[in-house]
Amino acid sequence: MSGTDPLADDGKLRAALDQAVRAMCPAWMRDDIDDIVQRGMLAAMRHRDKTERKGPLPASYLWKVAKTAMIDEMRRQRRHHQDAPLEDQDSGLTPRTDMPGPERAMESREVGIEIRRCLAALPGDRRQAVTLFLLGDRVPEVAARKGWNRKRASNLVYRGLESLRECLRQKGIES
Amino acid sequence: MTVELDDIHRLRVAFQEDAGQALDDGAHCPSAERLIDAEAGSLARPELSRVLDHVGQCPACTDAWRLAASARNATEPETGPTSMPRRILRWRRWSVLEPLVAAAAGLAIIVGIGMTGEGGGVRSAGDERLMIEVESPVRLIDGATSELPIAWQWPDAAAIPDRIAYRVSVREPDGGKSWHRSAEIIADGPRMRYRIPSLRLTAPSTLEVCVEVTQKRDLRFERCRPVDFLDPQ
Repeated sequence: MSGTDPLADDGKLRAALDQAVRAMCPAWMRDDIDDIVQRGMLAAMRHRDKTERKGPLPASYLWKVAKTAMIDEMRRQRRHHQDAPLEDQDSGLTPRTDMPGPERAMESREVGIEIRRCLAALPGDRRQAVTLFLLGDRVPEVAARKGWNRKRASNLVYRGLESLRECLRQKGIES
Repeated sequence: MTVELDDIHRLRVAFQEDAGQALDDGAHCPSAERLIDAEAGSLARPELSRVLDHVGQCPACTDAWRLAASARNATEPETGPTSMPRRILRWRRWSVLEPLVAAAAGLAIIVGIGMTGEGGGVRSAGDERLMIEVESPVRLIDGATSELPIAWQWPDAAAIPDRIAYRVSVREPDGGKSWHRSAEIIADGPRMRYRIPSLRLTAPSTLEVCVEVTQKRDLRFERCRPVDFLDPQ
């Protein structure tokens, strides 16, 4: 029963976290689910101890813990991958099936660097509108996030994209 | 460098696939909680601006933002292994409105779905890997000039056998009308192209474009994505 059997409570907590992580985890991180759940377990148990909470943690909290653990694990892996010697970088990690091949990755990397440089040179609102757009937002979402009306958001996005293209053109990247 | 970018879709892909290092080796990266709150719209706007300016310069946080976004869109786990995603229930309601499609004519869109991946075979409904993202540009043709990307990826798509049916639909969410229409397959293979022959737009619109995959007998999966269609220039 909740609050009387710590082991049973921990089992339920792990099961709930496992379910949340599996529901959100992208395919390329699926081999890391156990690590993510473990990371989430530690965070949830710390929270439970700190708040001296009895009984189950709210599902909304567990979902946030699961998201946080997933992002932390992704960034940890990325750091580990970058720190690894070159000859180990393709051998010790789970392959991401949605990752581009080496040539395309190199091309994307080079273009990505230039995009970020050009982005940094845009004026504030335009820069943030384009950043949101490149992250996948639509114009109405950009407007909602930034508190702009749709017309303003649309202008900032598309004028910003034009400036971005022009900047890339000057760097030899044609759009 | 002689890289060509032919559309916004490629800009987005290059930005999102940049596998570079974290800005300042991660020393100034926002915490995962802060990123999640920013992506979910829970931060005050000045704070959001600071996070966005960082994300715009940090490939690792770009990945983290996208992960937070995909996690936010994930539905809570279903209890049974054969239960169907919630989206499908809405799809069924749309089918009641199908006769409305007959009134629409003129513009067509092509949905190209670039599917990548390897191995796997047919998945059960409980396998979240079918909760897809597929790279797919949506193009207006017949007079429209704007195009915007629709992003999905579906790692195991290459392993799905031919008998699986695809259906593409559009929805106009603001006007109170909804309709769906099966797509004509123009080309199949690693890059699939579909055409929706009857779609008329008279003003800038945000439409929801959906791809549904019917698998086995009763199992169906659907992914939808809002897409802006702007004024012809």
